[in-house]
Amino acid sequence: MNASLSLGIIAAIVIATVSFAFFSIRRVKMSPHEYIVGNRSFGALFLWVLLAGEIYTSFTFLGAAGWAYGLGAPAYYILAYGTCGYIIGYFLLPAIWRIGKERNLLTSPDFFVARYGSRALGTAVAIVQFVLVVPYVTLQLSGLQILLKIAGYGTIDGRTAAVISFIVITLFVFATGLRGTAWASIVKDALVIGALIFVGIAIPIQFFGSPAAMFDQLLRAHPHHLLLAAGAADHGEIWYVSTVLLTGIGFFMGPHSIAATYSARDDDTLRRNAVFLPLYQLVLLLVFFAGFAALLIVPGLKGPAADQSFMLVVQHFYPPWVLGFVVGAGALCALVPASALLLSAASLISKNVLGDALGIATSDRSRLLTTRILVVLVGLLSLGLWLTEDKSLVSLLLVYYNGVTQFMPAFVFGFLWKRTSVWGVTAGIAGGLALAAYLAFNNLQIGGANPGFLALALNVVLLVGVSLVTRPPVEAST
Amino acid sequence: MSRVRILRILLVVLPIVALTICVPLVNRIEPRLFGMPFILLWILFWVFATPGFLWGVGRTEGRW
Repeated sequence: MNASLSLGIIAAIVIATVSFAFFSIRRVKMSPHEYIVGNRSFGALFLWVLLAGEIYTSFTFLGAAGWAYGLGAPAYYILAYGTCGYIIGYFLLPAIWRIGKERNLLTSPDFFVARYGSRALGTAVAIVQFVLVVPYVTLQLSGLQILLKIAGYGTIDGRTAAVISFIVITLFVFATGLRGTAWASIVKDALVIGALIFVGIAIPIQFFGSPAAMFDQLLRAHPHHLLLAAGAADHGEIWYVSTVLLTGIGFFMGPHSIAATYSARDDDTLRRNAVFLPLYQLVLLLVFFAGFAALLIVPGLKGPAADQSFMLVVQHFYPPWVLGFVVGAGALCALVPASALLLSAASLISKNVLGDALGIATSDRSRLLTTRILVVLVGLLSLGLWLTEDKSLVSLLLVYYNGVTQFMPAFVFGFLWKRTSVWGVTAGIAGGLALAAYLAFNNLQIGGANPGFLALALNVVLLVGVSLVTRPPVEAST
Repeated sequence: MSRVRILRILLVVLPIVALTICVPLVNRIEPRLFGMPFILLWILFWVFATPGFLWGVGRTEGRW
């Protein structure tokens, strides 16, 4: 009975969120620009909610708690890299938005076509980004399954429930596009903040008297847990510094983040978002508190089980309706980012592969239709890949972050250096991706530093070197 | 370089430096506040100071 109560609450939360978003966009007139980038009309607060909705995924929360539980201090990097990402975003996003507005861009690869004058490069970028993003969607499905399994008190394996909620969300994206995702993010953010105040503050108070008392006990039980290991050790100081810098640089490079950037009403909206988004990191601190509390309350969890630590505390010690709300908030953290990812993956194919490369469905009406159909197809593809439990997905995820980071030099040099040529960018991205993949698959680290750095350095060297010996693009002079 | 420009660069570089290469220098437990170790307090301080710094950057650009 416990399981049906908590799962019932989760179902109610998902249905209420979807209905709310449907209701909110019922008068919106659809076009490809409305569907993919919200007609470039989102104001500061609406965009803030959308960005927060996309950035803080189920794995941000489960992973952050798991790191706080299992590794301790290395988890702090999650607080720092997002903040560095927002500082860089303050300058980068308005520049991306301006060229998006001037040239009427829809997708991240569109930037490469506009700046470097090569449709072939745009199509290649679209295919690479598609390959990187689809495993990221399946990751959200794994998050969803873990959550629903906990909510079912072990009576269900979570898989069927995850599939059903994923199909609901795919149909939701099919109908509503980016604006619907933003409305759903409002519900998600409100619920998440409520749930995390509960797990991050109420649990430490109830079990230890106060968060401060929890830290006292944690320091006595695990004196080194809250400090970084020295120097080049695994997850040590060098790892921390290099990872914060690298992941900060790549922070906004996912194609869904670029789509969200285009959706802003003006460039100041993006600057205001960069100013205020660091405040959202507070919720991560609450997740850390929950992870630390769980380490003392339910010690001994290993590997993936550590990610579930604070959820297990809620499951063991609180009534089913509380579990239902906490897991419901978590489920939205999987479903809202998944909808943004699906939408961007579908638009990469409909715009840059079907439209630009093959000349199919280039009118507004047919582009809207093909994008919608592709949302469903990409959803089914992700679902299929996830159900086959293909091991290559795990390796692709290892490359996701370092992979999308390889697009950063093309943006930065594209804005700052006129000579940057299409061949320079192509060589940089190809070399960077190849090295990032090689290092990730072979699990190589150099001096404790994040291996993505080498890939990014190679990328920049190739970009500059090849640009110097090739012709600058014609577009650059216009 | 004008003074405004130097100020703007400082406002950008300071939080990034504080959140990255300074962290190994503050990798210790004491002093604590609300039970939290010093390294965590340091990172939190800079995370929540960053909106102020970025707002300041906007001021130097005459935006708000």
